[in-house]
Amino acid sequence: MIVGSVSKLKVLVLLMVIATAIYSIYYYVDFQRYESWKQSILQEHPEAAEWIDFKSYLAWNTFTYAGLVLLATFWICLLAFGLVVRCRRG
Amino acid sequence: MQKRIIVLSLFLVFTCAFLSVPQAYAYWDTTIDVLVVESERFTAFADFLNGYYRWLWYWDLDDAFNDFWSTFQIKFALRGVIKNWHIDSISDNAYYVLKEAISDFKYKSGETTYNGYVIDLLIVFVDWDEIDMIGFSPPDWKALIISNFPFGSVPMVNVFVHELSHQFYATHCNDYNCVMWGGGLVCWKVTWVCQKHFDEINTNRNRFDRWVEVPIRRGGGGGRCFLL
Repeated sequence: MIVGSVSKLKVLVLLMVIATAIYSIYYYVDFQRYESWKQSILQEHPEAAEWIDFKSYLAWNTFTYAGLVLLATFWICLLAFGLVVRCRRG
Repeated sequence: MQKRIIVLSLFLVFTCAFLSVPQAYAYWDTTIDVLVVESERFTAFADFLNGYYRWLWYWDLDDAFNDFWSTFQIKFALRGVIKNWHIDSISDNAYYVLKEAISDFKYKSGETTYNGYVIDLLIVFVDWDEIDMIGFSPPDWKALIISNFPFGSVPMVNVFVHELSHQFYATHCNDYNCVMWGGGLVCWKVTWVCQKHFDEINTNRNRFDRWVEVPIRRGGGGGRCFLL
């Protein structure tokens, strides 16, 4: 660790916080898009609305799902790493 | 003596009249004859690994049929599988893809025949991204479409039971423990939990029944008395 400068880990965490924030906004916007698409389908075929089985949002957008898994994995690893370090320090 | 002759004459007249009636009969066909159509991509996927996936898929379909039999005594019978159906529709909207299948095969429930059977229900299987839904099962069309999604990670038997239940006007519910739960992925439960669905399915259990008239027996005088 270089004294007086920012550690690599902190930079990584900062980058991942930014990535998570951007991802959350994307997720929210995309989810709204999915909901509006569902509504448009229901309005287009109102007589068939009861018999349509939509995919859940995560199943509909596998890219989102993959991103979620990656981010979750990172944060879980970081949490585990932090816990291990804390335990070692006592 | 005269009385005996009259009785015998009447007996002969009635016997001949009975035998002269054409020997036709009719009955209610309560079995739901099913025709399956597979899209090109579904067929390719199902044939992967020497057809192992196809075997699993149809095993689940058979399980769903058995569920209907054991619970409601509704009998489904798979009468044929048409493979490699080409989808022309540029839309991945399940509504239009199912309409295209109905149009391509000139399907009309109770009239279309396949392998000598009159087909009551058309089931279309497509690959996971060929339609934008898990399935679509409008009971008035007597046809349904199911996507291969998500590669068997959800027990497909549940999806089959769910979509087949729609054909009896079973509607969605909010109970996650029920197979008719309508919140996205079809849930992991195999059974109908809500009494509402039992009632809906039982009320409409005869909607696929057909009145079948067997034609007059051929040969030997067309089924009439040989004396007449």
